[in-house]
Amino acid sequence: MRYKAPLNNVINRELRAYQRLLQVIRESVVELLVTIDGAYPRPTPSEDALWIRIAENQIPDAWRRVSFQTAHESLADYLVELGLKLEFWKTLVASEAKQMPSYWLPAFFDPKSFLTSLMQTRSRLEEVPLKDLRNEYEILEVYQADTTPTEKHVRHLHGLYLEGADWDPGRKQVVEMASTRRFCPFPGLRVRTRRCEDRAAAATPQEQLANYNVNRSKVRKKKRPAAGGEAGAADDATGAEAVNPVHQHRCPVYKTTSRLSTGLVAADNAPVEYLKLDTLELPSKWVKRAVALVLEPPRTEGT
Amino acid sequence: MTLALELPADHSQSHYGFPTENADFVQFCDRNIPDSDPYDIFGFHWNIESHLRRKEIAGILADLSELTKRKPGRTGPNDDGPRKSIEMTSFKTSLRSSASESGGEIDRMLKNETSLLNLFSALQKLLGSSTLDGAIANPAVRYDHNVAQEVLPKRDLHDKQVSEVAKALLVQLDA
Repeated sequence: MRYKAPLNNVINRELRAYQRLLQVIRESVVELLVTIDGAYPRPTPSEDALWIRIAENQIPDAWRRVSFQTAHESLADYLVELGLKLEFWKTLVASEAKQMPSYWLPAFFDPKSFLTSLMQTRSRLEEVPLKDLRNEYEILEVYQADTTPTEKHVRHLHGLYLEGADWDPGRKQVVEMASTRRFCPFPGLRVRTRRCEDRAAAATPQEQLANYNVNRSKVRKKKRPAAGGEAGAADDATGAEAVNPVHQHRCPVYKTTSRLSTGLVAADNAPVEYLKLDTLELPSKWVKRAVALVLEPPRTEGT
Repeated sequence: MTLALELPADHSQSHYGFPTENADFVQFCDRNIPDSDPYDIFGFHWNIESHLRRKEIAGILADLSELTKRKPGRTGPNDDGPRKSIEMTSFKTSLRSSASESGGEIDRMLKNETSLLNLFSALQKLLGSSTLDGAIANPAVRYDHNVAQEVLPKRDLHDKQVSEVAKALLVQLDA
């Protein structure tokens, strides 16, 4: 393990977590095998036995305890999710830890650690304090980048879904839902780890939130001049941004749709990151509607 | 009379027992009166009826209260969730309602004979008619040749197949 490669550390931790999960799955399959083969001594049957859970299409509790955070109830959906995640890690290991074209963020048990490790990498290479660095996110036009970024300290991410609103890829803005679906796929991201020279830019999340609230109160939506018919249409054609200023919605990224539900560790449900998304509407509209990005939308809720 | 012990139920004498003088009558009823009243007991009809109604109403209210609680992974307050839904317990039916974006991936996994999803799906199909079938309430029935003469050979065959699929799963998990 090289000190200057914190990303390797994160990847190793993730692989160990998957190894542990597969070990628990293996144990429950062995228990099934021993029971069906009539071997002695037989394990004590419990409600969490694999054959009972398979019949109910439910995830065994023993798996859940060591699993990545998931909002899925059905075992079938969970196995699809697990299969996809294992494929991602196989590809990553096969590439011998060379830089991937794009990292699938939902595959990480702890995506926050991954994002921090990007900053740590630069921090250790250039020997600058971590507080003087920040990740900047740029929204791509494609859902998954297929080329490895050539610039230093830049990575591509994908696998996000926008809940409660639609994404206009042309204008790169959050817009009202055009259909009845609850989730829409969100384009990939380019993460650039930057040095911020002034302290204001490196504000803590609390400071950023305070600044955001102050700024937000100053922005007022300008009234569109009362022009009907063709004149109104001409206004639209010249660009609505000229009339309506572009606001920024500070959109949280959650791991699952469970968000802040009780019964789980609070830190697990805290937002992984906040992204600033452009919108013509007042951000309070999206805040009130709880618009957020999620890494794992439910498969059975009309995505 | 104050020192009289509680008298247990005696259906031949047409009663469900007698409480002691200071006993809580409601608790006594809860303990002694069955959910359904198969006996024609004289003198207690009103009490029994009201007790049964009370239990029924409490049950309905509890169900109503359950409906208002949303649980993670369930789609709405009226949804019983996959546990109670018969059609959602089948892997393939459950996956048919999945997101269209992942439809291609699911097909690919189901076509791949060694994928975890495919092996678990095969297990589910076989376990339904094996000795580990959860629908067999009485464990003795599983192996009684007098009870299920036609079913036993099929169960035996499926047990062997479950064992083979489980071994294939272990190979995949170790890979």
